[in-house]
Amino acid sequence: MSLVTIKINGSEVQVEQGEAILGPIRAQGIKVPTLCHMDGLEPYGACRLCMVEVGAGKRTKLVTSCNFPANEGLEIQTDTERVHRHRAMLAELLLARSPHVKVVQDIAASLGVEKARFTDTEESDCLLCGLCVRVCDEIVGASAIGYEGRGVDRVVGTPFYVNPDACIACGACTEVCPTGLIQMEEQTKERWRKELSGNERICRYSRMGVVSAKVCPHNYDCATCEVDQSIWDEFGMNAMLALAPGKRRKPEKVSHFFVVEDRFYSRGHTWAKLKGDHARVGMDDFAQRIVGQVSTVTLTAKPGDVVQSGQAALTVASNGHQANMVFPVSGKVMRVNPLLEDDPTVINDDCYQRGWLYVLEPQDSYEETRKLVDPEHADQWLLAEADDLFRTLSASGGAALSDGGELLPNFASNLDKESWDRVAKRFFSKV
Amino acid sequence: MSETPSKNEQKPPVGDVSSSSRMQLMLCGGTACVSSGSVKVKAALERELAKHDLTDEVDVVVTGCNGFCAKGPVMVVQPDGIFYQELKEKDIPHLVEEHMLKGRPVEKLMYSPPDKKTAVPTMSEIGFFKKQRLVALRNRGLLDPESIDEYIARDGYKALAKVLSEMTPEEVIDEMIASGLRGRGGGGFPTGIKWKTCRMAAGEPKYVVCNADEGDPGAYMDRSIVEADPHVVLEGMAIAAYAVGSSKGYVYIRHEYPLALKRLQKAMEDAREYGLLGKNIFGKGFDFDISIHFGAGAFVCGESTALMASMEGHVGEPRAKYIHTVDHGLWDRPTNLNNVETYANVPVIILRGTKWFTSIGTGDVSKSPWGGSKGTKVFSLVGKVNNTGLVEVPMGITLREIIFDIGGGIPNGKKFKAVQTGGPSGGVLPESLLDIPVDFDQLTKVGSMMGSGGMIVMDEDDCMVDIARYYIDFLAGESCGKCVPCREGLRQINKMLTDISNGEAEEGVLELLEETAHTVAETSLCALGGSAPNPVLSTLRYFRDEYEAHVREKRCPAGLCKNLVTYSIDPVNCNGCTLCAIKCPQHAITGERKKVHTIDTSLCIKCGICRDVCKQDAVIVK
Repeated sequence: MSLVTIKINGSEVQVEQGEAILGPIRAQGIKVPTLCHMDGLEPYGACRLCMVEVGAGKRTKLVTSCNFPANEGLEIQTDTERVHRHRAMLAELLLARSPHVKVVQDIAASLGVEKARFTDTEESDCLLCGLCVRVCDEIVGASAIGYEGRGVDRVVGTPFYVNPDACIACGACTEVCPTGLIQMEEQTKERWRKELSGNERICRYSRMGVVSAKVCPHNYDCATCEVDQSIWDEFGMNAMLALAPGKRRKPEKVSHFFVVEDRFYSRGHTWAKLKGDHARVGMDDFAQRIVGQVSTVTLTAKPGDVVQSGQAALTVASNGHQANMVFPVSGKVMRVNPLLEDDPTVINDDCYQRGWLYVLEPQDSYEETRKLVDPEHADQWLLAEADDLFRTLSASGGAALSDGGELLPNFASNLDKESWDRVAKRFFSKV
Repeated sequence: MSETPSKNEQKPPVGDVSSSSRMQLMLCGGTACVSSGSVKVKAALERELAKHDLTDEVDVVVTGCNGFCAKGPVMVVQPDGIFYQELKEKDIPHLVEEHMLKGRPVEKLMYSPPDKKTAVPTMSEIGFFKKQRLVALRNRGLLDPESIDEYIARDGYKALAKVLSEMTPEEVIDEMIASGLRGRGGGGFPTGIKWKTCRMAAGEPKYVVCNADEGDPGAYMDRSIVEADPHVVLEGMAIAAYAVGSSKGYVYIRHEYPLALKRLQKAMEDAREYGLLGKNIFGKGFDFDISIHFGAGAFVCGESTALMASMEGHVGEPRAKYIHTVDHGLWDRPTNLNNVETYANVPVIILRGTKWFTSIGTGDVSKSPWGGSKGTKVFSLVGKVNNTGLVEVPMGITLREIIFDIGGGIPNGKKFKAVQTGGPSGGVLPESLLDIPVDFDQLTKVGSMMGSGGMIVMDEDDCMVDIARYYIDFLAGESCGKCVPCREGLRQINKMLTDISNGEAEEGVLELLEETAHTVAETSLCALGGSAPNPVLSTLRYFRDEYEAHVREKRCPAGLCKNLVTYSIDPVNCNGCTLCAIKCPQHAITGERKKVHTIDTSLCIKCGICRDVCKQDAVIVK
């Protein structure tokens, strides 16, 4: 593929010929709302929220950036009155459909829409973004769900309204659903419990091709199964999504740190990732970089304990200094990461997946996450935090920074106790 | 624009080419005439001819749609061109004895204009046919669509032979570009340029597809062409295939068109037998064959990417595309998609040349095919107009000529109010625009479109809010539901229009309606959504006062929106005939014979029957 030069809001950027322009636009730090887009899936072009204007002078047209291909000399405007007007109207239409859905409220609020003026309102949980249908088709390859009806009557459904044999209960649809409405995994497991017995009860991970042929001894109650746990521990996310080549959500680099936009962040630099009725929590990349090579981790809670957000979750030590980190959400501790005991540096290696800390059963997922930094704003927040860190470190004599302004590895060991405590208090003690 | 049929592209009919009959009875076998009884008429004709021993002298030829559907079943007696209409089985013994045996045409079965009593014997003198110019439909009513010999006798497949033996594909493409032919399916994209792009596109094999998925309510141009002259479509497709470098064609046709389908299949079999489809056509090393793909009847499948998705076995939904189907179409291969009527224009352009073709129509296409609209366009003229039917007119003719000269004006002495062009997603145009020339660019300029050629006439009894609501309701149901603006936008527009029509809308609704309609038009994924707001935006533009009357005064000026009108009886005009009281399904009308009647509005359901039956015009709707 050859490179072409395009202009995004006047600045020239080099991108691959034919590449969809959404990626390059976002790489410029420009916010583009999307609902039906997911990296790793074919562009769908259904929510139309990612509309931008292309062309020059008076001959511009509105296109969806998720699938509009880059060509030499292409000029893109993302910040015009026309773009704003139509995005706001689209958000208003979605808000009339699903006024109670958080992702819709957030998109609408970000576009300055507070309330839909329309009178035909309903409370539909499904936004018809098609992520579930497309994940099932493109990544899982099962095509167990699809659409039925057309026009305003369109809904997501299964063939002939029954739970289909094609569903392997992988849960990928639930994982990608922005509202958590679709619950195919539970429905299919429920059917298997009724219909299958003995050797017919093939493990769902075998059906996914993740483990070799195995019969389920747990009555498809995956939460009690060590295979399920170890696979979650391995990937930290849905196995089908993790295994699909190039489909795993990659961390993005913001300033000097990585962030993954699929989870919530506490202001004390711990993260919470929600799945179903449990939340997995861990330290973010910012925290593990500041702390440096972890020598010991002391977890302050054990399974069965009920903890509050803001309460101390662990003490992490490195090269003679230590820091206390806090729980991002309240709830009951279900499990702790067994890997930490053998090798706490797993936090340094993979803080977002394998280096997780606890699994909690949150008291109220929605209320809990409202206090946190949401995935959409995680990068902005981290940028501000990074600025703050560099200011703090410069004030401490610059011992932590290289000549080029890069963070030194294990820079914390260069800080005196007073400076370190100031850093730890400033960055790790809040929720 | 006052072409007489003698200048038309019509040669005398051929009938059965092998026979030496003295008279041909060209009986229309189009869907409209079949449904009004032409099959029975045919049987009666054959029976009566046999009775008088005329079978060898007089042929009965069942043709495709004649076009004058309002008067079906129709029959043209050739070679004299005597036009008979509204034939019934019982008329036939008399007709055969008088005309076919004794040579005395039967006046009472002929056409008389609405305002006159005198019959017009010959077809060419009838107003409906006078201003038409037949190019795509040049063979309509003149041959048996199930006979390949008759098609060949009328220069059929001659254009294909010419192309294969005398022209390079590039020359064919240049000819099409020079002719200025633009897509008749609605888009108006220059056909030659599409062919050129397809020829240059990388990828093998290439496909040629014919879009016969006609879905507009009340429109049947494509069906009619396929029924009347199926071979012209096959020939046009073969020429396109040669030009773009394809050897495989598909016709995407609705399953609801059984007659068209049957004739198309027969035509394909005959063409294969004659070596006009298949391997090594005309011995020139050109292979081309066609398959039929049945559509299940979704309006949206007329959209190119939805049509191709449907052919590939997927749900008929448009793909999000900025890459055109000529580059990545059916099964991701370069695909040339044209509409039935476009293909029907191709052979005659090749035979008669671009000079002739560009002499018809508007603008100047010598520099670019975008410079004008050349040739003719077929419209199905329906609604509140006397002569409903299928008409082919030169581009540039005015709407007034089509509606009043060809269509014979508005029935029952009512006043013309508006005409919608371009099918359900076309715009509604008022009387002040009746004199604009009909071509691609003019119609777009005034907020409507050529579309595939639906033309619906409305009179003073039609409410513009109700019309807009009807079309939006249709489109909201036919939207595939994939993208937000089309699915959610049309739903809200539909709700707003329903509220307005019910008198429940609040101040400000018209602004919100306009705002929503603009977003749907500008951000929808495909052309269905992109054009769907046209009925709303055009009625708002030309009939805003009617909307305002509904919103502010809670009044429907046309007296149609049920919630906003009440029925009463005018005591001056009522003569007490009791007819309305007898017909009222609610028994809401009371009154003594020969005395003034009254309506109990608490019982009235506003069905309008009383108004329809009243001979005194005494029912008032306000």
